[in-house]
Amino acid sequence: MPFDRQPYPPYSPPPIPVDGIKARSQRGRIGEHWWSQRFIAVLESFDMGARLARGRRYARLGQVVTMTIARGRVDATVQGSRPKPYKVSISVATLPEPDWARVVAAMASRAVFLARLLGGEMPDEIEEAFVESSVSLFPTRSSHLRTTCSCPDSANPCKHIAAVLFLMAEEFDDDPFLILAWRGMERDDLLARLRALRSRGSGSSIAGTPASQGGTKPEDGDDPRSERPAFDLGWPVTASGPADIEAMQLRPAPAFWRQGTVEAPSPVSAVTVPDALLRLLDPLDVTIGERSVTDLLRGAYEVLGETPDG
Amino acid sequence: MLVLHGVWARPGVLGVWAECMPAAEAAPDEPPVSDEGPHRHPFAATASTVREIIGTIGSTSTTLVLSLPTHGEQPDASHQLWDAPMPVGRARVRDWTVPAAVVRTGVALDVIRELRVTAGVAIGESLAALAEVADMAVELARGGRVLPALVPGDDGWRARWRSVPTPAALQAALALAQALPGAVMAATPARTDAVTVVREIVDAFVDSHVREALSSFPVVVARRGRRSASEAWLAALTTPDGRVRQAGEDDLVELAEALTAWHRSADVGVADLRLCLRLVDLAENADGEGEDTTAPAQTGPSVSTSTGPSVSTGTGDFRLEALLQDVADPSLLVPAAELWDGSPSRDLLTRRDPYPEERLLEQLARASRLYPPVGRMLAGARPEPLDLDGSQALEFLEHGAALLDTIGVAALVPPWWRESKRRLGARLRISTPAPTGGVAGNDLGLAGLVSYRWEIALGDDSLTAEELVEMARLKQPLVRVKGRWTIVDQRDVEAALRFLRKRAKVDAAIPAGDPREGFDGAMSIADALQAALGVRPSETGLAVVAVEADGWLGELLDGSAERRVELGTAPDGFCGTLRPYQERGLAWLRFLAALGVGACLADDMGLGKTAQLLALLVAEQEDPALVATPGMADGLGPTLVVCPMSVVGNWQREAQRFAPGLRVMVHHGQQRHRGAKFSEAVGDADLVLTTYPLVVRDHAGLASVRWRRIVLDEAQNVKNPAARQSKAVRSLPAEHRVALTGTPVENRLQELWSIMEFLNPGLLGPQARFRERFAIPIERLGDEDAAERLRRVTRPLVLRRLKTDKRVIDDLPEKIEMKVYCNLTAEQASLYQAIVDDAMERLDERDGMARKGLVLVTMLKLKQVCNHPAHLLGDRSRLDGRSGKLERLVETLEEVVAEGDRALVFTQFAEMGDMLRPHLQERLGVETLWLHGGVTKKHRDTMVDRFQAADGPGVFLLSLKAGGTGLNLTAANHVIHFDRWWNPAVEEQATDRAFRIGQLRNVQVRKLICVGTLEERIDAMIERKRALADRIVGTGESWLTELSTSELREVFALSSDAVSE
Repeated sequence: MPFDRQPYPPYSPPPIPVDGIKARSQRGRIGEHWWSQRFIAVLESFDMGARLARGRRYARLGQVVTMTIARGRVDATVQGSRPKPYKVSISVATLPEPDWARVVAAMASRAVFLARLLGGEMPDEIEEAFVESSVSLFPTRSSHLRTTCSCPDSANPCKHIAAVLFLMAEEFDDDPFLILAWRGMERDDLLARLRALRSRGSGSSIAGTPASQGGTKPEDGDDPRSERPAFDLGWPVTASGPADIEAMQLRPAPAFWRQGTVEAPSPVSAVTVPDALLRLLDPLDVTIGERSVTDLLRGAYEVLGETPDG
Repeated sequence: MLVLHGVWARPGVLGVWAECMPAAEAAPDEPPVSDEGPHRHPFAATASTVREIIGTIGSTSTTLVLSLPTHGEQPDASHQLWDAPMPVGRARVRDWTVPAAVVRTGVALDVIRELRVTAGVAIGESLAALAEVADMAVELARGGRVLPALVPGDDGWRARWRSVPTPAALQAALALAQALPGAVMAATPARTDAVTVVREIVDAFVDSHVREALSSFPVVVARRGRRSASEAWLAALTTPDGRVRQAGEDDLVELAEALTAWHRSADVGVADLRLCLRLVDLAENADGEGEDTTAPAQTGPSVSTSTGPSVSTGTGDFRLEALLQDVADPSLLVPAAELWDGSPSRDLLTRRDPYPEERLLEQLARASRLYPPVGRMLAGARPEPLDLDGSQALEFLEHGAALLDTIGVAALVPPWWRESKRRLGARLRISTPAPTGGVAGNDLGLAGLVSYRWEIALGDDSLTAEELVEMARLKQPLVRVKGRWTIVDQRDVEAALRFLRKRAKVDAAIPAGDPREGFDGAMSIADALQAALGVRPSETGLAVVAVEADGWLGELLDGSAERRVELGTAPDGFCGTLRPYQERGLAWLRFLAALGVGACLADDMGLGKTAQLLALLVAEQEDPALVATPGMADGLGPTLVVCPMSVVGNWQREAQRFAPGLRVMVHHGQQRHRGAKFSEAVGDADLVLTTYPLVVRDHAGLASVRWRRIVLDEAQNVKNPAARQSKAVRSLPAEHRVALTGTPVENRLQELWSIMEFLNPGLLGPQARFRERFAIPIERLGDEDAAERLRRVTRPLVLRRLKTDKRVIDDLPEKIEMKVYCNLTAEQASLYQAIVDDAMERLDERDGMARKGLVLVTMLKLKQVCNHPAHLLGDRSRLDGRSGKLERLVETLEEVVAEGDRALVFTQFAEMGDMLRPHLQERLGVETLWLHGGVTKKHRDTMVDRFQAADGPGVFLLSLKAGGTGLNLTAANHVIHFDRWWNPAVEEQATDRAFRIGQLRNVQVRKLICVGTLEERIDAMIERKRALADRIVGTGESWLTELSTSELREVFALSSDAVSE
């Protein structure tokens, strides 16, 4: 299923669309992880001069109105100076089926590939799986990409194309499966093939169709992450129900005044690692002089771990 | 009585308000309220009253609008407000304006914590709930579960710390939200859910806690001039207000977005299926000792088993396995191999997710980001178990498990890891010389010398040099020693080897047959105890893990002295019988006294500490040879008992009763001796009674006496070691010291130190070091090792028997009756005297009915005075500090409540009950029921049911008439007769409310009697007559009117020992 990033329909055409897709990174480089950097590197190799910087600016301002990543192709609309947004498409060669079969077999032989992808990372070793394939996972030359834009600018790639490419990098950051999808292997296909291989390996039917297994989760294009309640800093975001407080206040006294029974929470593990959270997080791309803010903060966490309570 | 409530008020402040009894603090007449807008809460205390209780620093007065459940035109009262009628019908929610104190979160935690220990004010459950939420916030901050953020506000940008709960902490937070009292959210806009409120509270407390903690550790050094937005933000993270200064708006917007993106990577969410990593101890399983049967059959070589060498280790000793667990059904735990093989247990997991393998892989990938060794499990087509050696396993146990816990991955560890860990240490073995004659010779006591030898120990095992050499050779932190895994610090091994080598040379120099053979030297018993405590470093360079001694010292050290010392039967001069446990207590006291070691007798209330102590004094007097004080050829010095004023009379009476041979002197009151007269009087006394304040005031005089013994009664009075009276009692010289207390000193470490410092100065080391090595580790960190070390040293010196102990219960009668003697205050005494004088003057003039009437009225008045001056005067005047009997009642009930027991208090006067009830509630901080003649049948049944319930009120006050018969109140195991009806049958009947079928515990019955007044004399007459003829006294009090005037004069007279001030 194509990835659709179209939160709202385009509004009447002001120079900067209100509902455009803004790049998350508002300064410095775009693309947090090595795999999106690899993609940006291709973009930079186009030798676009000032159009590259303008494209980045477009991406940050939110000039890209819609963007859809699909098999071998990305379609987008970008608000330019004319009222009607320009149409941009970026095509790439997809891997032929025999190549995919080899790649999938290579991935099946080492659990780390799928594990890291499912964990939200592109495995460091991913390119080893593509060794026997005719194409590499990442386009390496500008000629690997076929780009079009409906703008009057004769230069290709233009700044509109560049803006879309920058946003693609951020998409790949968030979901490395999308790179594979763009190269012709959508997430669900990949998962299904790997399941089949696992099943063959064990001689059992663990990859049987979910329907026959009575799974409670819908199979169609399910991203398990999208089904979980949204979390913000470890807290569930969705309210457990707006009626709660009214119910609470309507409880007859003394229930209103009483604390319910709290099951004793399991004690927080006695051994704590003060900066565990910092280690878990991606590095924060903010520095003071030469020092990264993450490093500066580490000392603060050590101090916190030593404070007595009270 | 006030009930304090806490309410979360936005933005980020704690509101505290209070309900009060309308009569106690009526709101001043309000101007008529218009119909518009919320009405003023009719029984809320003023904001200034609230601030007086919670402290004015950091709080401000305000008015809050609270949505409260309402019946009719009245907001409902909380269940904790006394006399709160239970409303019927369905409540509406209505807004009320309530005066309140607003507290910044920075000080709110202190405010809440302080409230916990303030008596007289009931703490609403809303505040208790807020405290729990706040505690959770502090715990998160201490565990580093916080992230810095940048948030926009109306008045500019602020740097804020926000909480990031672990999955486990989130579960706890959700449970707190579920249980959050509605009162906490009374100021929150409707439609806010409890989880959001809990998060707001946690975040607010996290922010203020972290800010406070880092106030002297700024993340960046502040500097003047231009700086980047990031720098401005970092600086603001540790300032009190968090305001971000001197930074451009655009830069801040950008930074805020970067931070938000960064935060997102912290979200691990909560999954249905959870990764567990199990560390399997293959050696243990190979031995067949492991309980783990699901572990796969091992294929690798097992280097060590328990049948192998005594010290061993090797690779492949451990294996780390991945499993997937159903969070909703934690017993469903499926190893990775079974998932890939499609075993039946896999099918059970597919209820949660059709492809559980993928959830396992996903979480393994996340786990490997935090703890890279896990990544090695993913090299093959399916996750493979990881072979670990000892040091890798230890690394996982010590660090990996805690790291992984933060992302919700559970670590399953071998059982021995959770058990107390064996550590390489030093054991001190002491040989006690046989005592020369009697229980103990003069050379004993804490200064006595004993021979000792150090051993290198691991748990109960002693290690040889060869075993240590092997441990050093392996150079592994986790070594299997004699069949058990042991964490070994190589520095300890080296230190132990150095010590053993050095000693081998010393041993070689001692000729065979020399008495020093087999010993390292001699040390004093005090030094040995200190070594056991760890306050004195051992010569081995290792921590002392055990002290073992033979003979009497061994018994003393292992706490068995109480059981083993020769039973001290009560001395001849002791009038009374000692119960078997009291005889053991006496023997123990004599044993320690003979050694000159200070002793703390901490038996539960009602077990007779006073009697045991008096028996000790009599025993020593009868057999002074036991004491054999050097330089005191002319016999024993006197014993000084320091006690609270309210028990002086009781000591006096108990001494008279149990030890009539002791010459007792009370050093108290305005008439007390001073200077030379004091010395003279002390010279003629065996037992001197005085009070804590006087030890400070008359310190010089008291310090000039050579005391045989100083006894602190209610020793918790010196719990603060820095208080003047604590210092004063410590500096009085004495040959022996005893502390009596009914409170569990072992759990109150500051109190324990202070009492020990009095008993055996220096034994627990300086206070600062004690805090650092014991108080903080035990109280804050729950350090079991430190607690055990402390127990080891205090065990010999503290004897505490609970009334629920098996060995005590058998000795106790089911009903223990005690007379508790109280003193009058000077005010009571002068009123008493005036009544007696007046009556005596008029008694001669009357006869017949008029005389009878006068006698009864006089008795009534005297009884009222003994109860309380305000009872006689009926003027609703202040109660505190004016009646010795009331003080004694409160002190007794405080102990009852502290032990978690419940009491019935009988009075024959309804007016007294009316006064007592609010007073007891204030002083004790627990609900007190009051049953009198005016209570309806229905209400009375409700009271009885409430009292009998499992968490019912602690004190039930009853009038003798209304509550003396018929009721079943077996939830109480204490009965106190505040005043006397002088009719044993009636009192007995009242006592039987608690002491009847259904009572499972021993019942303690106390009758309060004012010393030197008619109460004491009539009590004595009853005791005499009861034996002769019950019928004389069986008919109420009228028989008293038949006494002659001179008899009455004797009965009424106020004797000189009645007053205690």
